[in-house]
Amino acid sequence: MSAALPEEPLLALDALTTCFDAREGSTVAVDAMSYAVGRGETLGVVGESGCGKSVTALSILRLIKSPGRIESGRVRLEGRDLLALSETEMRRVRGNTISMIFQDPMTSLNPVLTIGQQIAEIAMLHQGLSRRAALDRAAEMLRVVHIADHRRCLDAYPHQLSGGMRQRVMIAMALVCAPKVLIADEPTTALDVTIQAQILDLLCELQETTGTAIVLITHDLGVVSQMARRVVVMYAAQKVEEAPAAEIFNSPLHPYTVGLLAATPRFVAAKLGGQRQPLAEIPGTVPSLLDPPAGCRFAPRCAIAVDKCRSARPPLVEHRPGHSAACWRAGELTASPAVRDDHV
Amino acid sequence: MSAMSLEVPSILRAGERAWRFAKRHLTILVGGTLLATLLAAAIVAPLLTQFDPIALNVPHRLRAPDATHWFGTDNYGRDVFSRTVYGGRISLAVGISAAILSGVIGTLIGILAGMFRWLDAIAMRIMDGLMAIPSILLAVAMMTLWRPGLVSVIVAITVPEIPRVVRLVRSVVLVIREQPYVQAATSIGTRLPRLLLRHILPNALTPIVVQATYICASAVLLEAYLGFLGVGIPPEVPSWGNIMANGRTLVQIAIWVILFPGAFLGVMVLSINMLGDGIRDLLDPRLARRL
Repeated sequence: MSAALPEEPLLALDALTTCFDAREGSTVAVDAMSYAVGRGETLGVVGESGCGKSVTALSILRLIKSPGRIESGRVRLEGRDLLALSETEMRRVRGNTISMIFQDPMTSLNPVLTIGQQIAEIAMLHQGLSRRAALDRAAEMLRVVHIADHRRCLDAYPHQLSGGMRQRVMIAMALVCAPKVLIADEPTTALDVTIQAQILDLLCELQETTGTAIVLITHDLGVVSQMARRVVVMYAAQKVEEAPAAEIFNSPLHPYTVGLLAATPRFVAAKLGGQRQPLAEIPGTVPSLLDPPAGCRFAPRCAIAVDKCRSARPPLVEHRPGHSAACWRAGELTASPAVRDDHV
Repeated sequence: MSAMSLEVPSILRAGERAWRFAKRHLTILVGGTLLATLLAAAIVAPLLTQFDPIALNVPHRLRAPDATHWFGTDNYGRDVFSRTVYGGRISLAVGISAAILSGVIGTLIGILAGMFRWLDAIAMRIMDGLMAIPSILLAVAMMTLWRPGLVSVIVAITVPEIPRVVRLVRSVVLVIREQPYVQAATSIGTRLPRLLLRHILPNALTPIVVQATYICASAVLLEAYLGFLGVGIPPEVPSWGNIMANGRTLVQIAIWVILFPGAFLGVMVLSINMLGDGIRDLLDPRLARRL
């Protein structure tokens, strides 16, 4: 796979800003977000609920509904600015060049249409296939996502399938047109762990065969470590760190990333040695996006925040090749438990 | 329930399945049978009676029910049974047309109002305005504008019913449009008309069908009111409302003139409502169990 080529990345976000207008003022849900995905690459986007991961993804496809709006920035797909396209041109991109898998497979399928109808619809829409050919294509896609008895599955309704099967169907739908980018918005959050592993394996396998780039949005660091080559960490609508996956786990620079890693439950630690370690947490809560802190948004919760952190917003600085972080004291906090101990 | 094991065991023969269905959905069975009987009687009315429903036969006036005139005769000697059976045609035509018309128009406005916020504000204020006027008053007012006839009666009954459908559809659409599968459909590039027709309308259909049956029942009643008040279908046409309006003056001497069409009206409205309840239970089993 060719991620490091000097050519333009497949999909590039450049200072994308999306806000939601409310009576109390405008909430910036995605603040000058930038990331890039190369062909066949998997990018992990990590952050806690409400940090703007999904809104970023919806902004890429321009699916933000009023009162939300994309304020500024660019989304470039193979050099083409998606935000400048007409609605008709944009519809041709959706589901065709960029597809999306949603979080909850239980509700993301239309309950009154059969699986076959729903998959065939995309093939008819974007590839101009006849009804029969589209249904054949649908059956083929179901086989690709390893649904046993895929012919019969065509005539099934969503309620007749299990959660894992439905997510497979969602993946089949997303891949009908062999998209260049697949945005997977928490694809395994609603599934149990064994099914989760199967779905992730399936995504990996399909990526190898089709060469689709994947933007994997998740709050599960375990999922990211399995799948992604590079990871973007978001906090309160901003990107706070970006690094190759291995570096994020081994030498995180931003205190938030350190805290996030520390807060991952570890089975071994809990079981062995009788003394149960309480689950580490990051103290405090996410700041309100209506009135964000003046300096670093993480400062109020940060163990090593100094005055400068509270007054000036740290710029995103590349500390090592391919590894950037937005923190005045980047890299100073390494031992994970310290996040907690300093506050107790 | 395990995935895709939908086949009914082959031992369960068609007859047994029908019996099970009938036991579980008794209201549909009873309501459906009653309504089907009334419908059949209305259709084959000329075969059921030898008497012309509008032919006068003054010497035979005000006969009590007997073997010849099953429901007796009115003050002009017209056969009440014949008039009642023919009247069923009018009632059913009005009820079914009004239900379909208000269902279709109301669904159209309701879906658009639910999808477009700017239209919502305008359409719903108009609907509020219509709902503020009692439907019988509105229908009477409209009837005074046109020449009385079957079509004008249907329109006058349809218009007051439309807001009920619009409100219902709009509220259902507001829920459906936020469903993830609608967003998923948008995210694959589905066009708006297709989104409305294939993703939103089918999911809103259950309550619309149920509401349509209730409208059918209330339209049958409303037609009778209009006839009774003398502003409905021309008095010479034997609609149930007209027959009863005529029979009202004869209550003390010939109660059968008002009794039989009244009973038919009651049975018809009851059967349509039962059918509606049954359909609701059938289409939305969860709701049925909760009630």
